[in-house]
Order: sequence, then structure tokens, then C-alpha cells
Amino acid sequence: MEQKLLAKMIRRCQKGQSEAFAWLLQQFGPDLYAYFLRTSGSRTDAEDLLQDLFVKLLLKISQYKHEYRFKNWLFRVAANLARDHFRNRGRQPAVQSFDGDWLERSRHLAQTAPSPVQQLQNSELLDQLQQVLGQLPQQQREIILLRHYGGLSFQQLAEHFDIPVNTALAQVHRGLKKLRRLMSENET
Amino acid sequence: MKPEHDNKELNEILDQWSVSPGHRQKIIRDIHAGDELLDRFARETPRPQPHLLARIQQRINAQLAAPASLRPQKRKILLPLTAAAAAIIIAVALVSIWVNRPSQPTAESYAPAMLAQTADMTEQELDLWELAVLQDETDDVINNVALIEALASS
Repeated sequence: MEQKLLAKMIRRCQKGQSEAFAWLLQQFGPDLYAYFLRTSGSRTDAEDLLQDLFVKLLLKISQYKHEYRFKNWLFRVAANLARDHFRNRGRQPAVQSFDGDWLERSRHLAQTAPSPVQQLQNSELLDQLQQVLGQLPQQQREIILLRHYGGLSFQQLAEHFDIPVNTALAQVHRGLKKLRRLMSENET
Repeated sequence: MKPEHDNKELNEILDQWSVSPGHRQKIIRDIHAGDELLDRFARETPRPQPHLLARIQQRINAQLAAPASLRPQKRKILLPLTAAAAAIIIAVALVSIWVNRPSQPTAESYAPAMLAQTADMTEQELDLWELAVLQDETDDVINNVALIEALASS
């Protein structure tokens, strides 16, 4: 994404221009949705969170300073929103598996998968991944997802979670290693 | 989708760790393999449905159309501006008072100033004031005598 165009659109958003928000939604909506989906394990929660985030962004965007990378900033806002969302509802995210029926899930996947066999395989793999993510400690899962989808550096992760940078790296290493081990165990 | 400059940062952090080169390579390999796994799944992750994006856009438009929705933001900007303006006005007023303050009476202006001062006084106040001036003058004389004596004795 061209940084000049992004900066221009952010400035327009800060002036309250609706078209600029539409552009941001198109650019970042899919990644944010995927992040919320992986964090919550629920499509309903992911949809609610994405809506709430953009409504919150209407007020928050005035606080954005252009020296920070926008995507990192946006995902940190998203991570805080998700945490508040589950805290207020008094429950942990349902990360064990996707909600909804199988047919609906495979319909989503049909947009990217070319054949029904692949659709099925993809769907099973996604379910496996969601289950495995649910087995990680909460902070480790959050760190991995925020790094992966939000592109946060180890330093930014350390700042966000208020932990030393070495701990952030250790959490990423341990989490990803465990993720691979559990996935390979599930495949066998 | 891993962060930009991730390898550089990873190596910088590992430089601070006292790990063997073999262990270091293993950590980097583990992280890269995990990233590849997540990348693979990211490609398969469902995208938000168009009707969801349309609904969000509608909510954004509705919020932008309602002036009240942006009021807290405006207030946030206006409040410091008002405070700054008030501070400037007070500062200007103070400078103006300082510049236009009545000048201290000099030797030439002392007598008219004294006359102006005494004009508003009652008789009793005038007596007290003269007494104070007399006292000051007496103190000056005493001080001068003490100074002369000190000089003479040295």
C-alpha cells in the first residue's frame, strides 16, 4: 500500500470524510476481520468487533500521529477493543472452534478454494488451527495473532503487553513452536 | 504477513542473549516455520461479507451525519484553545498595567507628587504622614552621624 495515499486518506478521515473511511474499511477490513475471527473463534463476535472498531475509529483517528505506522496503531486499538469486549461480557473468547454450521463455513471458503475436496480440506485445517490456538495460553495467543495480523514488531509487542522485549520474543517462539507441534499431532 | 524488518530485530535481540549459534539458528527456524504455517491459514481465512462492510459504512455515515457524535472531539480541541486565549488576554492585561504604572517620584517630581498625595488626606492622616516622614528624615540624620563618626575613627 502506498504510504502517501494512506497518509492522505487518514488526514481525510481526521476531517470526517465518509469516503476516506470507506477506503480504510476496504483496505484493512479483511485483515481486521481475520484477526477478530482468530481471536474470538466466533463469526458473530468478529462482525460485532469490526463494526465497533470502525465506530470507535471515528473518534480515535484524531489521536493518530503520522510518525507511527498506521497498521500497527490500528491493530493495537483492535486488540484493546477485543480485550474490553470479552472482559465486559465476562467470558473468554470461544476459540475452540468456529461457530455456525459447516455449510456456511464452506461457502466462505469457496471464494478462495477451487474444488470441493480442497474446500473440505481447508475447512478441516481451519478448524484444527482454531482448536490449537485455543490450547495456547491467552497472552501467548494474543501476542502471536497481533504480530501476525497487525505486523507488530517485538518491541511494539513488548510495549503493548508491558513485558520485556526478550519475553515477547520468547512468547512468540514458544507459541509458534507449540502451534506447529499441536498441528502435526492433529494431522497424524 | 510477518512484520517488516523482523529478521533484523530478531537478530538484534538474539545478539543480547547468550545462546549458542546452533540454538540461535533453531530459534530463527522455529519462528519462520510458525510464520509460514500462519501465512498458509491466513490465505484460507474467510473474508468479511459485503453486507457486513455495507452495514459498517452505513453506521459510519450515520455517525458522521450526526454533529453530536463529533462533539467530544471538538470539545477536546476547544477547551485548550479557550484556556490558551484566556492566558494570553491576562498576560496582555498585566503587561499593559506594568507599562502604564505611575512612575516613582524623582527628585524633581517628588514635591508635586507629595502635594497630590497629601491633597486627598484628612488632617489627622496628614499629621501621621508628616510624622512618618519626619521619622525617616531623623533616621537618615542618625545614620549620617554614625557614618561620619565611623569614618573619623578609622
